[in-house]
Amino acid sequence: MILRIEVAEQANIAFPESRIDSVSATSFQDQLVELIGRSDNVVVDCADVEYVSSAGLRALLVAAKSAQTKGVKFAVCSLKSHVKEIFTVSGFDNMVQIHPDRETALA
Amino acid sequence: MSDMLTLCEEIILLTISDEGKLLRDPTTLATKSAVAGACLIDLALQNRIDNDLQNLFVVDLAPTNERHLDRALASLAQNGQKLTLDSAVSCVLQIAEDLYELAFKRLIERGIVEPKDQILLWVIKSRRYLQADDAAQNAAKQKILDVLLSKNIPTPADVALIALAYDYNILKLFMADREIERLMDRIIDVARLDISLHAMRRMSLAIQAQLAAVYISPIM
Repeated sequence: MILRIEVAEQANIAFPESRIDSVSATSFQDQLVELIGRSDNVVVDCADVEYVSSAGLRALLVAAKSAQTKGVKFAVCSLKSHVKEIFTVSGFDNMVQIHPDRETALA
Repeated sequence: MSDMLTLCEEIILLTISDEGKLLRDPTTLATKSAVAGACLIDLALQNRIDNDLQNLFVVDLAPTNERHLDRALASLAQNGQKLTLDSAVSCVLQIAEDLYELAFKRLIERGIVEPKDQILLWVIKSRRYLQADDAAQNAAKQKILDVLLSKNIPTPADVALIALAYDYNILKLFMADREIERLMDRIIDVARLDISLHAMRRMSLAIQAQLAAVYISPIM
């Protein structure tokens, strides 16, 4: 997966592609952790994401931990309802800030 | 083979007392569930399998070079590349005693655990498993306590270790009931994070319910 990055005034925004699973999770995680290493605020905009497996959740967990360790603000936004289900079932939303859209995440 | 312990080995190690006694019977459903769950997570952490809320996918058949994990992987693969989560759990649960034995042998090979036969009253033999070095067990306990006593986001491996230790009553072996009670909210928040273990939890409860039904059924 090639992670598209947009540099906004308030944050660096990462746009993962449609699937975060065992095929893409390692590359996604590496790029996200690298982005966290050079940012103060990172938002992962999942508007294009259709599927997240347990490997994808683990990649996000590693990124969130990296952000916490480095004191970087980290949030996820724009989850489609069927993708949001996996975040809710796992309680991931208790560990990481989840916003309904990018505007709220950047506010 | 890796120097790092697999999650399955860590779970087994946590069930050995300082005196070398096995505090959990390997043939019980709880121990089998803990071992099966640990092997599934080990395989997931090594990118051999992946899952969502319904299905488990075998994504890479390359050997892990750990006999217990390769046995679990082969068993899953025999059932196809895509399995329902429940059938995957059932498949690994069926061979959990073998997995336990293989992982235990690995702990012995690593020199962490040393089997010692004792003769009591001249005839009764008892086997103990003394820890040549308790550093590995202490490290596993410390990892759990570090996560539970902080608000830090855990690593995926720590999540699985805590989830399995909580679900199958292994936390109780080294934490006081009162301490577990005090940390319950945090334990549950962390334990939920790995969705691979949700199916294991569901299946263990279903089997327990089936067993309970058998025990209370009248003899026909």
